Amino acid sequence: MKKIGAVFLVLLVLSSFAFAKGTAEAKSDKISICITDDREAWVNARIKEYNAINPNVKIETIVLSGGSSDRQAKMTMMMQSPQTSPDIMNEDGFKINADSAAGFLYPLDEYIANWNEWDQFYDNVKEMGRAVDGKIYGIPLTVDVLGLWYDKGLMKEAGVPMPFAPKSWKDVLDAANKIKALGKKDVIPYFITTAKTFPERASMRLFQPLYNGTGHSIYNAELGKWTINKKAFLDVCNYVNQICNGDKVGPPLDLGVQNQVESVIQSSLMKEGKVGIWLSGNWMCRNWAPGMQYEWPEVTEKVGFVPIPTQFGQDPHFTSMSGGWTFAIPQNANNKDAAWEFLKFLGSKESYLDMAMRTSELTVRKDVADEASYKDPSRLYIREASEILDYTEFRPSLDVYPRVSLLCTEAMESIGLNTATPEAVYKTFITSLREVVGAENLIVD
Amino acid sequence: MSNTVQARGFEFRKNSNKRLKALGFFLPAMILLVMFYIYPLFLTVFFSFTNKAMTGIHAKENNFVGFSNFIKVFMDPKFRRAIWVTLVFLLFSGIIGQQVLGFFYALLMKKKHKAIRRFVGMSIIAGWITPDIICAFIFAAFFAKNGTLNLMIGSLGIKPISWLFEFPLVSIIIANIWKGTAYSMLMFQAALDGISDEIMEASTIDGANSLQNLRYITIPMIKQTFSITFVNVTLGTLGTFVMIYALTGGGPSGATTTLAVFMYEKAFVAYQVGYGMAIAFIMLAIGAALSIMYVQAMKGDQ
Amino acid sequence: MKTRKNIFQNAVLILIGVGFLVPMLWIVLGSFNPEASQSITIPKHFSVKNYAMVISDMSILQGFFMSFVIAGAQSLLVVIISLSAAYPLSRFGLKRAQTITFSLLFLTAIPMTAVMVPVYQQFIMMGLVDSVFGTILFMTTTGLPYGIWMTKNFLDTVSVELEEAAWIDGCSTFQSVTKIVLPLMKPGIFTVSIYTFVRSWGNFFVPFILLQSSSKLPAAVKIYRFFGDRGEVYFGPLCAYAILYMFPAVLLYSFAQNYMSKGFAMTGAAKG
Repeated sequence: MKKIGAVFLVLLVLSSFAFAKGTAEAKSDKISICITDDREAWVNARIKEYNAINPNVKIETIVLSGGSSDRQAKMTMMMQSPQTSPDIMNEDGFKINADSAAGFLYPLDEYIANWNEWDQFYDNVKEMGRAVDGKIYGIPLTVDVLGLWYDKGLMKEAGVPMPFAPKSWKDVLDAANKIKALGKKDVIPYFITTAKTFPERASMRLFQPLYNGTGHSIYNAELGKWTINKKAFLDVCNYVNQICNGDKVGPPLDLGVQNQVESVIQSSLMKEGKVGIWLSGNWMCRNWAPGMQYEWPEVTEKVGFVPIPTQFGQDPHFTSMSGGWTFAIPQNANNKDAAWEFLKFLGSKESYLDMAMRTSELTVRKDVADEASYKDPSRLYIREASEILDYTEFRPSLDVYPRVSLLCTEAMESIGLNTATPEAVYKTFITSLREVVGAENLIVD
Repeated sequence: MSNTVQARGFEFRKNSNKRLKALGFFLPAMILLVMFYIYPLFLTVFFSFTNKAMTGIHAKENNFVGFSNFIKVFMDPKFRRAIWVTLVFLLFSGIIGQQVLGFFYALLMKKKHKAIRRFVGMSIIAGWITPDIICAFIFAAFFAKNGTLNLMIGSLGIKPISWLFEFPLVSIIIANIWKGTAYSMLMFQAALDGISDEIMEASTIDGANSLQNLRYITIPMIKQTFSITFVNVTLGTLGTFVMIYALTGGGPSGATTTLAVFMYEKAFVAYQVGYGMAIAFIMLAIGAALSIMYVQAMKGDQ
Repeated sequence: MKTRKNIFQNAVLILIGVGFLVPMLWIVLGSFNPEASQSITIPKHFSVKNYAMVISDMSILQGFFMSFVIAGAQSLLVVIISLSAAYPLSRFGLKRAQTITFSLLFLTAIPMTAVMVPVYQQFIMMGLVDSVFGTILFMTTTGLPYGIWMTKNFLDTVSVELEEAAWIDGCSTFQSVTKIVLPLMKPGIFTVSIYTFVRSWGNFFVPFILLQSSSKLPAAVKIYRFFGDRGEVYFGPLCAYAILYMFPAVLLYSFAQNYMSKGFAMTGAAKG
């Protein structure tokens, strides 16, 4: 048997090297770009344009579909080595810090220094691509904001002064209660996400904007520490508790945990006037546009979009959270210079205007935002969403953020499911947070 | 090393080359298995002793952390819950659902009209053939508030239930039974076909009724099949991931988070590879232990 | 014999058969409904728009093709290699044969998602990422434990005397296998190949991780094209896609059905 064991080992070692290839040689005319599948049409169109000017550059697109965690995992894995890494990566903003700490990303500061178009990007959006080491690793591609979608018809009927312009958390809750008082069957007065089904959602779309609305933030960049204010935390929990369990104006739990709840809201619930207020992202209107999946010609008459007020309406009056995507150049990219050349083209005004026209998304460039076609009313709710940009904040994109975010989501879930009191939720949260970020990185007051 | 070979009357022309020849036949499989299965398995075990992560600092440099991942796992209340969920899932969807029901269907199908056998056979197989993700969709719609199941119970006057929310474990158990029963049924069908009719007839003539026939003749004769299906169904059910995750995401609140889902969450959502691999290692140990248990149990009675 | 018991049992059987088909109803109806949603609805207008949308998408057709290639190739390899490996286990009277076969099965206890992390790194090292060949090799490997176990059981049922008779007549081992054993093992071969084909046909995670180029991705991965990037689902096309996706597997199975039931007879009844 020992002989056989030896044969095993030899085979093993040999086979490991049998297929090993050397590092891919950098060809000066070939780059690859990895994108999510919703950008495919746009990027392919831009590649065509680019090739008209630079026919010698061959650009390969690697399109990733899949559930979001699968996709993120795949993207991260790809950047591990030169053989598999693309030259340009479509990088979700909140992973910039983690991926740069892992050594997966290449700092773009030098390239940007020679790019005169960089000033056209909104200042706060630029920060999305900056890591804790101060370097820029990503060129912003998109940004989105959160706000309150509301049903105009229900509001009017409930006697809420129109146009709906809540100035405090209480205003929103009052409106929701008025809608509830209408006594209509199956209507959800105030739809918020407390479910853990998509781990990031309840954290980003509920906890964080509310917490920021108290005037505090969970991370202090100057000090480099996580900060939790007990009263603020409890205020958020109590507010959510009021919505879900007190006044009971929140969504039925079984609806909230569904995987496709947002599709359901877009495709049927809002259209049927079954949702009073919906705390969600500006991109939700995308599918209501002409020619899209859930086309809704009268949408602007039926639905409005307003910023989320701060807790008592105190400065800056409104709050929002933004996510966004960027383009980054991986450290293991084989052809960084050629990648940058294409990236400049991809990040140009024409390119971003083109992309903006294809979707109802916000742009990250000032000059694009000034274009008349950008402001065209057929681009649903752009004006409202753009105004929210001034108030928006970005998630702390640290290494450990995904785990912190999960804790926020779990806190919201406990309140939503009414399995714990706000005090208990606070205790659990602080204990777990301490463990995740380390006691020395946490300030509790 | 003896030169004579006693293997069911098999005489070798070149006795002394037996080992070498066996190795030769086994070689292609061995190469592949070692390269792509056993080696990664070693790596998995190795990673479980590190704090490797998918991204962040620990993706670049990771340290050996000894057993700390395992200690953390065992102390994690979510892990204990996951074990409980896994066992319940295994017991009800695997053992009772697929195996026992599969056996029952196979029994029922015996000696029935060919058309009926064909029809029932095909419909049970349909589930088995359906890819996991599509299964998840089918049942997401089936269990939806306005879905098929509620439509059916609605005709009985029962109000619609949010299955995935109120009875998530039941829902995934049902889905898994739908998906996997075919395998057990086929195995038992074949085994039952192997029981000669004469024995049954003789026993019936002796005065035994069908229940006694079942207990004293049928079941003992197909003990081997039971043991084999136990093992395969167990291993298969332990590894079920896509369908559960796509259907409930492991929720609500961890109600359907089996070990497989838990492992995925840790490794691919929280990016803690080391921790996730520790869970995988534990799963491997559990699977092996259960399998050995079954086999011994079946053997012992012989 | 139309006894009461028989009729009752038949009725139960038919009920079971129908019961298993009920969940499929939604997918069938939804595929013909351009406005399909999660609830099961009779389409207002039956339309094949969904199917048209799916079939006209080149990328999806490519996906189906790749699924065939990968599933088919690995199926072939599994059969051949399993046969080769199972032969000594069955025929050579090795003491540890049963233990070896059984231990191979334990390998399947480890979840595929776990193994993919080290496998990906290994593939990078070997230059096999985004290689269809590499993916086929990996799928073959994961099909071997079960394949070998099944094949061994089939082999055990083919009497050795037949081979011995062939040897006396002057055949080599190889000839005796191809001329005597294989024909008798047809049910077994069909069983193994169908089983492993179906397994690979529906597999998403492995090709998702190991492949990159869009042209190489099999249909299982492409299913996510019917999702918006933030989780919206387009039900109509999804249903059509699902039906089309299940079709080849169902077809293959019904074609091999006769062989399959005989095949399972050999695994179940084998005393090995």
